[in-house]
Amino acid sequence: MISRDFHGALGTDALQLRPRFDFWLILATALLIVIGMLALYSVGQPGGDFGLFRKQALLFLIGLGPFFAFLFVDPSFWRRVSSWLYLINLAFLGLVLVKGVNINGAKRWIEIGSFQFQPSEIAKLLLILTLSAFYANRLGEIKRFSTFLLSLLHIAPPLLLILREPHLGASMVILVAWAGISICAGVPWRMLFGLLIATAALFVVAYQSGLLRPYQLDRIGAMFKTDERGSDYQQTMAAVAFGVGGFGGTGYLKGEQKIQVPEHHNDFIFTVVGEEGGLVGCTLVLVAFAFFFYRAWLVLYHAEDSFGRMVAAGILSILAFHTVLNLGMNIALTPVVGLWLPFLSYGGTALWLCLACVGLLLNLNRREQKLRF
Amino acid sequence: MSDRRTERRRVVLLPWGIAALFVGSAVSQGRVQIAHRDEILHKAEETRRFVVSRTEVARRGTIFSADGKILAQSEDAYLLGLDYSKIPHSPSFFMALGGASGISPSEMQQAALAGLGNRTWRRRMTGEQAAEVKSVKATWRADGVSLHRDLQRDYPLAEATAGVLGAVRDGKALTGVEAVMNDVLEGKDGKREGMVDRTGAWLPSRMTATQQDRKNGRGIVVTIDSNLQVAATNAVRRSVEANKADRGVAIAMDPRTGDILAMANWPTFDPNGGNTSLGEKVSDLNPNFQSIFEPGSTFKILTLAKALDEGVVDDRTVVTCRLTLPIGKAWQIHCDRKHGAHGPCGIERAIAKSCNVSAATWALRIGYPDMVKYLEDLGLLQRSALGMPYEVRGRFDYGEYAKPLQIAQVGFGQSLNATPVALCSAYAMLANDGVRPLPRLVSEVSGAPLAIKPGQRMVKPEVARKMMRLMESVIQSDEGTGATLRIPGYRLAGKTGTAQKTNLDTKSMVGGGYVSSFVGYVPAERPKAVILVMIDNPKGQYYGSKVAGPVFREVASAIIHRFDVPRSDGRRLEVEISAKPALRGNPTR
Repeated sequence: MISRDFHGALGTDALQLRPRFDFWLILATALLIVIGMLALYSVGQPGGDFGLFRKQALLFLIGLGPFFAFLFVDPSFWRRVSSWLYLINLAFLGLVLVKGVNINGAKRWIEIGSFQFQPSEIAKLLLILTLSAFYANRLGEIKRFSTFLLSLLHIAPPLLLILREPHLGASMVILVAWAGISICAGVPWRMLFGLLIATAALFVVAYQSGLLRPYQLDRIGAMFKTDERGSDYQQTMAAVAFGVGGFGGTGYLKGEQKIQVPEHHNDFIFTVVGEEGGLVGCTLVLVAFAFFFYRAWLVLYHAEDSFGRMVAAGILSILAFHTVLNLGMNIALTPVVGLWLPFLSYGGTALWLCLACVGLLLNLNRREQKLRF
Repeated sequence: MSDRRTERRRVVLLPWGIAALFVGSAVSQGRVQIAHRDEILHKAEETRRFVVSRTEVARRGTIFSADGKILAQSEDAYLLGLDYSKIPHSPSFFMALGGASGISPSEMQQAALAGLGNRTWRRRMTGEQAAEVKSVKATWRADGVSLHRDLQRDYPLAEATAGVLGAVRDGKALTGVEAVMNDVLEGKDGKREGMVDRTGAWLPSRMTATQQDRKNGRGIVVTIDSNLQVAATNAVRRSVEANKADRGVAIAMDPRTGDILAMANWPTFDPNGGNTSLGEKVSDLNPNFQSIFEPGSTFKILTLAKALDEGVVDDRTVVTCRLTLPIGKAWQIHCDRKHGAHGPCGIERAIAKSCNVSAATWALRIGYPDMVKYLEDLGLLQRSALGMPYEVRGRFDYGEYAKPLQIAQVGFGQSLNATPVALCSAYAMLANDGVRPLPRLVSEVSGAPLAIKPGQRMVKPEVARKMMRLMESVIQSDEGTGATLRIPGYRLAGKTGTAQKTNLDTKSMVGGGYVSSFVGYVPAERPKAVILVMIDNPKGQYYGSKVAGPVFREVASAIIHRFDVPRSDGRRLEVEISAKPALRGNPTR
């Protein structure tokens, strides 16, 4: 922030003094990861079982691989191989339906040795890259309806494959990425809103005409549930954890309700922050997220290259969507859809995706600087 | 460039949208954590999803014997609980759990098939079994296996102390010392209410206000000596079994203090709840204080003591026994027809030969009012100082029409019923210079000795001493009825008794059976103990010296051994004492 504001006054001489990578974005990322590790440590503390904590630390080290890959590989490379990326994406998503591990009735994981990863997570980033490349190649015809239809056609196969798993949360993320990139690409509002209204109307008509029966709605509702005791149970437990935390929290490692919350290490990691840090702690974490998104947005704002801008928009959209929806489901504002909290939730693929996204943002940011000065 | 500007506008729009969502999140956060906090916590507690209430069982106080042995102790035990929704339902799991817990695997599996959600088994497990269950739980990752702490009352001397201590069943003490001292022993269960974590451990800061700390019961020391108790129980058991008697009792009491050193009865029960070698007869009734008996001939010594004390009889008094003694015109009493008339009897001969005619004559000389008052003073007609539950009173018919006959019969211990413990206390008076000690069983409560309640004077000291000399002749003179009961080197005193019981079917003395009894003092000079033995309804031989006497001899030997009583002839104790007490039961369990 400081470097940006002062750079105009300092002139081109300051170019050499400025760090090549956005230090503040790195700091915000590091801060969030540290908060996540602290929360995971706290989760393991009552039973003295720090297995998750240690595993997450290891997963972080592995995650530095994708991070550096996306940090150093020229983004235009991804644009050039976008067709291949698209095929790889479909291949993974197809493979998981065939060879995937079935956990709680959903085939989301591919097992390689003792490691499991979720192709649907990778699909999020791959789709951002391929869709951005798609729009970037049609910048001239961006306002055409055919482009709009083609963009929908572009996301349809991966989306359907993810719905087959089923993984409703990830499907929603794909749609959000599409929306974010489309908005940024300059797709006319009337088409975007037109689609929204058309979809809603279709639902209403289907329901009214009896094509959609109540049990089908129940099934849609059931897709949201991740715990056999129901999302209500999870959210009630989470609410109690937040209630116990109150304003000031119980203090680090002193939380007691946290262990009652199912998935407290994963989707509901924020309850640990809520109980042990109280409203103060939650607000501070929110501020850290806000700062991260501000720095990420700056990358988007300053991006001159349309491909890079759309990639940044996609990343910002999915991470922000993840964050807001996760927080919403922690405080029972939204249904439990199984979306992790970026950087904080336990899980390898999610962390790698976040690190890759940050690497990509840093990379874009660095190249834009070169371009402008 | 207008396109570029549109894109810019859109890019600026995005963070505003995100910012709005963030503010919304923060506000909702505040709503949950501040505004609705109490409501949420209240709801959590109301649904009781997280709050559990648990009773912490207070440890019942230990009962020690006078010689410092543990007679009753509460040991930690564990109960197995299963939550069937959180355990594997495989047969091999139930096999492993059954092996560890001692609970039948098929029983556990059947409960699973019956669709039970939760179940706790009442069968107690030891600490080792609980540890094995824990390891089974760990290897099978069976979250639904839980262990609840419980307490188990253990009685190392088993049936030897059952009658006197009673037992605790399902947390309730029904009889014996356990019941009398329940308030001291019981303690107070603690109660905790609050939240627990997944392992069942309390969360310190989530406890409700209604906490009650567990207060363990206090320990007591009883006057019972473990060796004597076991010896007495064994002796009574042998006599009851050898003579095919209905039941038998033996009490050994310290005449100076009233402390009961042993109080045995047979048949009895196993306080540990097992099925040990008790045979077919099991009884949780302790006749020592829950039954009344006619004292029989042993009572003659109390009649004579009173007569001497009142001066109506002295050393020169001679009663001539002609087998029968007419009472008024309509009634008569008689001596045992088998042995014939005793002829002229001085008091010493009358006691040694156990002459009914003499005893009746003495009682008649004392007279009805004084004799009744004497019975009351001796405590025979009241409940004893022990305060045992279901203790019964002695019986004497105040409304009897034939009062002279009644009082003549009382003279030799009939027409009068009393509990063995009341009788023993009455007999003990003779060994305590005429002062009747109050029986007691508890000498210390949580380390503090209890005061001995002073007794009441019954007869003058010289009368009591004279009685002791007279009773010595029962055993030590060759013509005494207890001459077979001598222990070489020791001077013993005592009196046999054989009371005929009324047949409850025919209301006559014929076929009612007998109560064979013996009261004795060890040793005759400054006695350590007065011993009362009563054997109810022996078949075959029924004389006191034959049926009750051997019990007395065994207990007397045990007392000599236990208190290292010096020999009366001045020689040192030798190993000739036959009945060494051997600890029965299973002290280590």
